[in-house]
Amino acid sequence: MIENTQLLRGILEGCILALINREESYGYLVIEKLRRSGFPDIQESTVYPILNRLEKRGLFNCKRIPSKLGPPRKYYSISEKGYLELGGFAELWKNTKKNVDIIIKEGFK
Amino acid sequence: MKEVKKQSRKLVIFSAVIIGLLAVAAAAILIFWPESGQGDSFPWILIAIIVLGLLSLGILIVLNVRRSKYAALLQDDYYKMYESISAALQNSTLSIFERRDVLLDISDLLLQAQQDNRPINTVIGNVDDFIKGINTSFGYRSNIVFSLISGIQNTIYVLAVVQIAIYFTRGTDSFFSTTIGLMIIPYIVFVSFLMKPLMQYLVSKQRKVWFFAAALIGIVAIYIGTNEILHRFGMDIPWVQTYFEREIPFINSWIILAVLIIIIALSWFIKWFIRFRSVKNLQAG
Repeated sequence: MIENTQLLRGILEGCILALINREESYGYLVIEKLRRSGFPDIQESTVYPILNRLEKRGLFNCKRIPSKLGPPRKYYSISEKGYLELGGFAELWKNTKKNVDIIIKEGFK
Repeated sequence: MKEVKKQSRKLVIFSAVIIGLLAVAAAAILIFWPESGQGDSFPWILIAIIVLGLLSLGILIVLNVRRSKYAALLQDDYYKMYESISAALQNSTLSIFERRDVLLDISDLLLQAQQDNRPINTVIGNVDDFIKGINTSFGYRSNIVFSLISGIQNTIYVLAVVQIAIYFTRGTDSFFSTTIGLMIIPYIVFVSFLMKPLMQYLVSKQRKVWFFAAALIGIVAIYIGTNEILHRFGMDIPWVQTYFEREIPFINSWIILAVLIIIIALSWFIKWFIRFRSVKNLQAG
């Protein structure tokens, strides 16, 4: 239902920040991790623009490392600004989830 | 890779056909209507057609022959997808460095997905949406402003090249005293402001070569047809006569040359500034 919506993109932004905060990573690996973490149908065409946008916003530090498979691979690590953004997202998600849970619970009464 | 070779061969054949058709059309015009070479009997239409033919060949070479060495590692559907994305990005407001960066990332993603034997439709869904997403990820940049600036740049470049070509072919005393036929101006403006963006749009939206060829031939036909009709039936009208016979100066002094260089430099700066500001706005949140 939320495929390719603004809501999904917002959630994915937070998830990607969290994944990269945990471990320096490259694009394909981030997508694989998302697939294994409850987004099985997520596509590169959805995730790459989000990664690029977060990078342009200065939330990541990036470096290219030579790869045996093809072009130099871009690795993302969290920047200080990205870490603060992740904190803000975690707080917002906690409150939103709490409020949505209450509304849904009320709806079933 | 078989598919790639087939596609490349098809493109070369089509570009040869386009140029061949243009050359035949030019020859026919000069044989049946020798007065088509207006002014001082210089074959403007032939020159225009040859320039357009070379332009089309150049576009084809840039878009389809010069390939990234990494893209060459992609196979079949993956390669086609890379080509579609690459063509679509040509019609974006990204700088050449931004495009290169994005294409490196995409080729890496596609190579990894290919290695995992994933069907291409599970990697990239809708190309248009994907390109839109990439463009948006760089912040807002007005397509119209970029097209206008590119149109101005292209007009200046082409007019300068035309003046240089005329200078060498006519052997006039000085480069600054070399004039350009008025009738070529609307054609160059048309090519710079409409044809080039249209071609980029068509190539980005529709990868079929026949569509590209048809659009190109159609645009040339409109130009030749309009000029022929005007020349055959409108020479009694003063402005038509002026249009065909008037010669105007373009780069006629060092000052004008300096002004044009400043305009070109300024236009590049404006493009750079718009890109810079869009990313800054993103960072500001």
